[in-house]
Amino acid sequence: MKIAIADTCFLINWLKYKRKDDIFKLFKLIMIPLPVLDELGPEGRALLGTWVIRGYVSFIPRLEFYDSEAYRIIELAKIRNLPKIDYPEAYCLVIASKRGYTVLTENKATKYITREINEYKHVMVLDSLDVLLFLYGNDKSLLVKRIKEYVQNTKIIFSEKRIRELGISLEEC
Amino acid sequence: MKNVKVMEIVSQVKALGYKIDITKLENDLKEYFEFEKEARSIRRKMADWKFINSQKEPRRTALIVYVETGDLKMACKLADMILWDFVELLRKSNIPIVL
Repeated sequence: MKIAIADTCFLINWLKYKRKDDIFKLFKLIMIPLPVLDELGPEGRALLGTWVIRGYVSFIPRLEFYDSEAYRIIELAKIRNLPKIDYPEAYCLVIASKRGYTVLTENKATKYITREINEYKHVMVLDSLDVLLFLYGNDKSLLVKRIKEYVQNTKIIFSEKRIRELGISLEEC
Repeated sequence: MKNVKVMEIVSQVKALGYKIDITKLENDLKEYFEFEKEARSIRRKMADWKFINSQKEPRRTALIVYVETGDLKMACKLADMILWDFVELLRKSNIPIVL
């Protein structure tokens, strides 16, 4: 099984999902850069604690030699006029690229960068809908049920276009 | 001929030392424009404007910035809050995060 690296915007939503532990059917370990912890606040860190106890999470300290590349990515997102990428997210992408991890993020900028920039094309980026698809996509009615649960738990809305592309409708079930 | 905006981005990205796939860039620009249009309309429609307007500054402005741009990190910085707390404020304001 693979290792993932998660940024704050992913964790903020996924930690509220009642089936959050299912993610470990896809990944044996989730790496979390220490700067991400600061953005989670006490409630988020407490929820993360249950994963820490079970050894599902490992923290990555800030390694200065990745800094210049992380700042280059932040600049790149600005040039592309994409949603803002902050240091923790850029750092996730750099580490993932160097170590072969999958990036877990809701930030569209990260996805676009890995689609467009040759140096980052080898990095897999998943948001929560992608993760739900990997977990439950073999059974469409189960997938619809789980997406609905996720939306209810997190108050996230998935774009109609993306839902249509999956060949499902949330009106089902 | 490629449009000016695309060529401008390509030249700036190259100056940063990266190689960019122009076809993917064009597709993504179009996709993001359409996505953001749909997302903005959902956020505007669902937002609890009475609650938003009752918030003190800079939170009120930060919430409006999020509704209009969808840029979570930018809005969070404006609100001077940590991300977890800002997302909670979005939920109270009935502003959905659209993905």
